[in-house]
Amino acid sequence: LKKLQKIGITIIILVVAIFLLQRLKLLPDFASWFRSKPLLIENTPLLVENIRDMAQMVTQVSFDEVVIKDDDVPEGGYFRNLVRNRSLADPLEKRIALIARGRVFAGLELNKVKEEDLYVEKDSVRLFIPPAQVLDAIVNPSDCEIFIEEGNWSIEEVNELKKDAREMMRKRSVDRGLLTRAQNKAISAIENFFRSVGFKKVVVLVK
Amino acid sequence: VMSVMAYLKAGIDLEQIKDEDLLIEGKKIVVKLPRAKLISLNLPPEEIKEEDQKTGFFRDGFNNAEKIELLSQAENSIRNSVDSLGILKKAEENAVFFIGKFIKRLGYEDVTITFDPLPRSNKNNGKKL
Repeated sequence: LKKLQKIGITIIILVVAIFLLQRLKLLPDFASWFRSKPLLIENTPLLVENIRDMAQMVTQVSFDEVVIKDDDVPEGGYFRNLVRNRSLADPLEKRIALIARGRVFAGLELNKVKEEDLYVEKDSVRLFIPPAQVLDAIVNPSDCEIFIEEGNWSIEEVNELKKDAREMMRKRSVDRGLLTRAQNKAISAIENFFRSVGFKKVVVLVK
Repeated sequence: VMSVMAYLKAGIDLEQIKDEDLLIEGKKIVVKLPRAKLISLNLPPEEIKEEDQKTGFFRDGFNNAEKIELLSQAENSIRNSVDSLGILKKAEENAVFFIGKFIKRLGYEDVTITFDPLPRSNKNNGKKL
């Protein structure tokens, strides 16, 4: 009995000591042994494939956010329906939902302005510009957040969802008048530039 | 192992040009431009590829949230490397050529284009593009 008492007291002292050492942060956190480590990429060299000259005038950027979902629920037979009716997870069902934030850039493709589109005489200038267009629609990885992922989704399937989100944003921003705003902004910016370099009569028209 | 293709656009923010940046004397003009900056960074989803995946016995495969986290780090790494890629310098050279040619078409015979020594601060500074 004395031996058992000794073992008991030793265990209690050990537990109290470990507890105190942990509180004082003198021992490593045991829970961290099983916690996943932060994911970090290795330092990867960047390869520049090419650098191209461009002549674009970005006059409007629209910011948007969409939620996009997809699922793959196979047709149910007797047993699968039984599983579903009992609210049990069906291992063959797949569900995914992601939030994508993106930007749509609109403006002018200045390469489309030809020599004959610019007419200058004394203090008068007239320029024909191309219509405003969407120059870029961007959904980058850091713009995406997955909040439901059930089942196996390949990176290609997720990329398809991101592409759908990007198209949705592009369409929505155009429907909301992005191109009209981009065009008006381009006209006023070019008119201001002409006035600031000394022209009195300025006309900017869309082709 | 994943591979991504990134498209970076660099250019000049013409909104930052003020009246005092233009000096005109007859047919001579001096234009001071702000420094080129990154206009956009685009990692199109269709050009993101998973080349290989190996995980240890006790670990599940990477889920898509984890893959997005890794790709976001790659995106930031590209964004932070802009200065060393040479595209800002190229954008400034291109701006000098394009704006110079355009101003000459307006009738100026002597066109000088210079750049600010340092980037100008503006409302977009610090904002992700």
